[in-house]
Amino acid sequence: MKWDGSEFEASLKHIADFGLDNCIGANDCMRACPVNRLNVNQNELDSVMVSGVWTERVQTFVTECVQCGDCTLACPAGVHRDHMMLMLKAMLPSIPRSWKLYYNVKGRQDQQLLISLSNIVGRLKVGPLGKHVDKANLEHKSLLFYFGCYIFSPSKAPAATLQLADRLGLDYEVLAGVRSCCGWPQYLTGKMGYGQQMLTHLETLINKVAPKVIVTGCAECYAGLVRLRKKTGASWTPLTTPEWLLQHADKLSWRRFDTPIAIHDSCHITKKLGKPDPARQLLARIADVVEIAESPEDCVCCGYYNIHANRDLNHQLHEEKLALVAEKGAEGMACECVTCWESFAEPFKEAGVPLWELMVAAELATRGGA
Amino acid sequence: MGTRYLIIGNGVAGITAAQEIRAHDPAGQITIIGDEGKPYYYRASLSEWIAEDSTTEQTYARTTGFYEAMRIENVTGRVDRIDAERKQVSLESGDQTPYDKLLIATGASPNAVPIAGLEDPMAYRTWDDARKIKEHVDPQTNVLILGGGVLGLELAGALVEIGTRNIAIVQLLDFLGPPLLDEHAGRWLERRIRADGLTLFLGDTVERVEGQVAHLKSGKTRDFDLFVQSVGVRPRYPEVPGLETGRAVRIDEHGATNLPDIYAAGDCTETCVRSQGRWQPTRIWLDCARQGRVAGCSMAGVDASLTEYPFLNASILYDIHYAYIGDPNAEGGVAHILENDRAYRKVRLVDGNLAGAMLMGDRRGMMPMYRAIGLPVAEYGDVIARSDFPWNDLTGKDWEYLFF
Ligand SMILES: Cc1cc2nc3c(=O)[nH]c(=O)nc-3n(C[C@H](O)[C@H](O)[C@H](O)COP(=O)(O)OP(=O)(O)OC[C@H]3O[C@@H](n4cnc5c(N)ncnc54)[C@H](O)[C@@H]3O)c2cc1C
Ligand code: SF4
Ligand code: SF4
Repeated sequence: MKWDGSEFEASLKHIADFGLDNCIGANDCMRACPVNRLNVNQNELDSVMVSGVWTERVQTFVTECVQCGDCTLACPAGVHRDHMMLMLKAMLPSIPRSWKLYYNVKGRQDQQLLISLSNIVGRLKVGPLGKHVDKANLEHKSLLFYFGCYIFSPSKAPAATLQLADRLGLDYEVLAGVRSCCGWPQYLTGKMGYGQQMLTHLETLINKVAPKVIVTGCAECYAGLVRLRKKTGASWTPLTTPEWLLQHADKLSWRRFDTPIAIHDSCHITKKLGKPDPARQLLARIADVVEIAESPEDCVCCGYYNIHANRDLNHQLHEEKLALVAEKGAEGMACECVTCWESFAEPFKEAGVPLWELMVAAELATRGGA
Repeated sequence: MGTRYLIIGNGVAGITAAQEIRAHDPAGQITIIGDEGKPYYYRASLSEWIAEDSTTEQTYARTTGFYEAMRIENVTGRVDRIDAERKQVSLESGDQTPYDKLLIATGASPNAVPIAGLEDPMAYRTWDDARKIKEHVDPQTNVLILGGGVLGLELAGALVEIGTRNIAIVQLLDFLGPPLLDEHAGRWLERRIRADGLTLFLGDTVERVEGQVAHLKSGKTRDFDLFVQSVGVRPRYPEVPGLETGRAVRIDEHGATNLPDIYAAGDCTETCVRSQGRWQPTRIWLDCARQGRVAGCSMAGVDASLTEYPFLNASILYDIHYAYIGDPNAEGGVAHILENDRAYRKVRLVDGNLAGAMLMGDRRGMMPMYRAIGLPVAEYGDVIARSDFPWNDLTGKDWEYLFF
């Protein structure tokens, strides 16, 4: 195990130690896990964590963990099994090549040349939004849209969000590009030190804008903002895109879709930060909302990070999701988080099932004007 | 030759100490003596095993190769005597084992109430107990559990899961679940258990047994095929001349006893609550593990001491997730209570500060609540009993609080 010595890693160790002490062996965590195809037991994980001696099974499972938090919700003892998995990721003896690419092209201070090069390609890809990528002259504005690295996503949500803001006549600044990444992809690949570096850098960028409100359409970015605000005691308020738009909803005229639409819950927003409602309330303005899980917390993860570890596992989750949507009689599904959307986009397209990004749907539904 | 560490007791306190010793002293020789003939296992998962939710392997807390990977020698045997002067222990088999540092982590034994006519009373503590109970039950078995505390209820919950419904619980107090539950919470749970068809005898006890019939103090009778006593535990430890004990082995904040190079941890100990000037027995898994860590560090020469953490016990009561945080039954102050069919939540404030909480059914917010003990929360009023109260927003800016 090689530690990078960051505060993040030290705090993870603290949480993991507490988990080791508090775990009473119910194994409910591993039964709840949506990607535990090898039926790994909790005792295997803890044995590796304590002894540092890895088995192939555990290594595969730790690599495939998508950090959905289902394990933690299921635990009778209050163990943060998801964080213990994160610590195991940080301890992994070797990591997939795709992960290395993944964390190298994000906003690392020691990879500036690589980032500049990938930005050139990225800007070409995103057209007019390109002007916001790693902007040098950020202005003071009370409203900040934070798109981070997902500006380069094929998602139409960033453009739709700005269209909505323009329709509402709002004045805003935009923070986007991999240099303003929230650091979550880094934690996910076990690079806690890089993650911390990036969150700290994000703080300096935000301070240039000195906003009152920061809006983001990515669940992980949102969690990053909540984390940063708690740490720094900053006065700005982080909002998810649905939370933000709901504040202005009455100023817009809404047209309803005539098909019922299922709602997908993002793990970070619903399970970890406990905010299942805004996305539902917004979708309810547009269409009849179809619940596909018993409760929002039971909604199964999009499995995004297995795009980088195990594609098959990723597809399996998507098949399950598509089956649920059909079973519940929804004609399409909506999600608020760009990561979830990216994960689902291809399989839903192949299956011919509409997949809505909430901001894109809202933009379409309010074309009637402000 | 490295330091010889000897640990008596292959439970959570003993193993956690061994792990800590290994982390700080790679060259030390670590030996654990246990008398159960089982690897380190989770007592709480015995219920999962009875309920057929967990396999035998899943009840073990570490994998087969663990002891070897950690270079821990695991000996099966019972320690009879500790000779603190000659620094050696004697086993029942007659073997002697010398040590440089010794840890007593021998846990506790179940209490047994003497009942006229009851031969060979069964208890619920060890793997052997679980196996015996399991051998005796099928869905038709008449089970009588003496004791309506957490453990008795946990056993009842496991038996219900495998279809056994002829279960009677006899409880001396007139409500279930003490000391974790107060009367109000006990009644909430009682309704739930009665709805499952179990029979409860509250404010009653078994006076004598004739054949397969229990005669209760109230004059009622109850047939049984299986009689299990679950009436608390008492600390268990070998005789050691000169060892300071109260109701259990007394340890200081470094896990040390009054005798040189002898440490203790877990259910066999009691610790001094300085602020209240009293000795408190150790009773829960988390505290056993924390004591094991501290004792292990001290034995390996690393400075560590027990912090007075707020109390935390979260687990399963009957079939319901509960959390007992801090002191929800503290004297004085105000309690905000939220109660419905699914949940019972009580949050107590003393002098306007969060003193503790008892949560059943719906435990949302429990971990941030645990971290918020002592914070002023009076301004929020009774909404703090609701499960959507944003506890996470109130607590800490240390990184350790920042993962969700
Ligand atoms: C069924 C059940 C469920 C529980 N559920 C929970 C729960 O959900 N949450 C919670 O916090 N707590 C729970 N507890 C309590 C918790 O398990 C105990 O607090 C904990 O196991 C005590 O750990 P320990 O290491 O001190 O002792 P033990 O686990 O008792 O280990 C001590 C070991 O030492 C051995 N030993 C004793 N004397 C000698 C000797 N002279 N020579 C050799 N070996 C010896 C014993 O046989 C035993 O194996 C539960 C207990 C039971 C029985
Ligand atoms: S559910 Fe919780 S207590 Fe049970 S094995 Fe998992 S982490 Fe441990
Ligand atoms: S965070 Fe999700 S994927 Fe990872 S172990 Fe827990 S349940 Fe499984």
